[in-house]
Amino acid sequence: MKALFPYPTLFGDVTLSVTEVAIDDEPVAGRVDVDRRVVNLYGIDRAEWETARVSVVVSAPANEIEDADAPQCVAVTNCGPSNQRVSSILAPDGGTTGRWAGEILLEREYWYAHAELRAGVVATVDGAGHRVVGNSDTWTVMFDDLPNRPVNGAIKITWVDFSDPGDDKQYLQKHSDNYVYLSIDPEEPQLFLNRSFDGLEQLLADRRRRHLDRALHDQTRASIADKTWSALFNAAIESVEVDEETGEPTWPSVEWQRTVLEALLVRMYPDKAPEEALGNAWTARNTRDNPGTLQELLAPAAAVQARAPRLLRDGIRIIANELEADEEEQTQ
Amino acid sequence: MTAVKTLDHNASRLLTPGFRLGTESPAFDDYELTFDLGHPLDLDAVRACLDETMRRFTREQGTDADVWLAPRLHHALRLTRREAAHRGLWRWLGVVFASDYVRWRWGPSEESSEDPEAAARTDRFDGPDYKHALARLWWMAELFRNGPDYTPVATALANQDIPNNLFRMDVAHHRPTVQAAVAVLDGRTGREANALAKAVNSAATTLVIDTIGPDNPLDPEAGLAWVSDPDIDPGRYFDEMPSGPEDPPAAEAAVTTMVDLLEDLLAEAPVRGRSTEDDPDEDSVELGSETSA
Repeated sequence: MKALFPYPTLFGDVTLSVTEVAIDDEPVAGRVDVDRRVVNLYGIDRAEWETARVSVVVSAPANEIEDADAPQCVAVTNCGPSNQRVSSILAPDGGTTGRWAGEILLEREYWYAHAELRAGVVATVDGAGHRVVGNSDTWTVMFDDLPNRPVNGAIKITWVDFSDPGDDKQYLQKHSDNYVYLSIDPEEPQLFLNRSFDGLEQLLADRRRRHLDRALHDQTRASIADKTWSALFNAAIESVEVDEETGEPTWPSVEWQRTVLEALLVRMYPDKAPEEALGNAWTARNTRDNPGTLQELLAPAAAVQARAPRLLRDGIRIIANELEADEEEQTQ
Repeated sequence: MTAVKTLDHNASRLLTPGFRLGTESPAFDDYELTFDLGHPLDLDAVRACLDETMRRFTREQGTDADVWLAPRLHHALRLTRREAAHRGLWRWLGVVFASDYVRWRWGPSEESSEDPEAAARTDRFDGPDYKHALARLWWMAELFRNGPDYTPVATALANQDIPNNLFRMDVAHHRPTVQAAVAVLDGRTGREANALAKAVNSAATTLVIDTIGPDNPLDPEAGLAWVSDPDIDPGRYFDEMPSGPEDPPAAEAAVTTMVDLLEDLLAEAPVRGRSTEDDPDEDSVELGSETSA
């Protein structure tokens, strides 16, 4: 979404590229995912690494920068979990107007989980200095403490034997008759599947199933996903806080909670802008007159998010085809 | 010496009103995990600071207690930012290690109260860093200290609207902005603190505070020396201010520039209850120097 600025900004795009990642001053390959805009510092072969140096190049339309007053470019890395911010003012890159380059030094002891990296181009506008005239897309720098960015379309799934879950997950033992347990950790939600539940691993592991097996496989997956989305939504809406002065609800600061709300609210309130949808959901959650309203809207949204209707339709078709085949066999 | 642990978030279900009031004692053992920091952590020193807080102050003196405890807690609880970002550590500290302090600071004013409505809220034991009873103080000290100088921490905590608002915003990760805010808000009301926090946060969408006030980076060597130091003597600092990690202070020129900017923003910001002249704000605590009991 484009931010609205009360003064003229660049028409063209500001693009940030990561050209090199060095760990303890040694370049390492394969750490940059350009498509997802991720710098991955997770699972580095050197466990005790200390510093990461990320080299970046930022480009903006040359003709617009040519006309700008005192343009400058800065890369800012900000980490919510460790409250850390580092900025690097980038140097003009050689003789190319609208191109800057520089390095971002990340000392490992200051960072945790993931940080956001973004470049901003500033200039003097109408006599006011340091005005943002363009921002790059945001990149994510992943650190090694939390391997997965929570609920970025997928949740972390772990297979555990619930009857013997190990010292760190003793609480799962109480659920050894069940096949699934959703742990809604504010840092990272996780879905535990019960390895000691007979046949479950075989049923869910192989996506290339056919016929009735396929229908059961899809239904089980959809059912788990459906319930998971609903539970995460309910946890996320509980984390919404109200601005004391305006009385308006604000997005949760935990990223997965916001992601879950955004994903489902757009389905629950398709005609509303995200903030308005959040306001409506918040009001619905707190209403005493009809407390079921929110759950009524949530149920179909979570089902569609989990692709449950489509999978059920596929399943019904598979069963119908099987029955038809059985009947043909019997009539022959 | 007590060993530091983390607590799995699934322990949260045991934080019943009875636990939060202190009338029930659930077993958390199944949810505890050892946490190997690779450096010493003197939890006895932390305990000494908490006990002294509860001795020096009454339950009604929450703000004064925060002002006193935050620098001393930060001084005793030697963590890197990476370690302090670990939610499970704070959960263990709030629920297992220091639940008595959490109840004392955030529970009912009558210790014997059995009113579940008055119990300390769950997020004071196990909540985000701006709510958790200990994490909020530690992080306030970490973000508001000026190099080794904890004085701005005490000044900021004397106005509880600073930890409730500015502290939670991304702009609070920029040291010159933080130091400037403490200077500008000295002697101002809580409403002004709220108004300024909003104005700065909003201005940061069109102004880049990092180019306006370029800062000195923290010193990782100083941080390493700080967490590796095994000799902490908390009692020495009960009546005088301790000093923190030897990071360089926020860049002075940047702080001066940010003070000018923040003064302008505050002058233009809508402050609740302020018309042409400043109204006294009955809800808020005036900023002042550190209070001792």
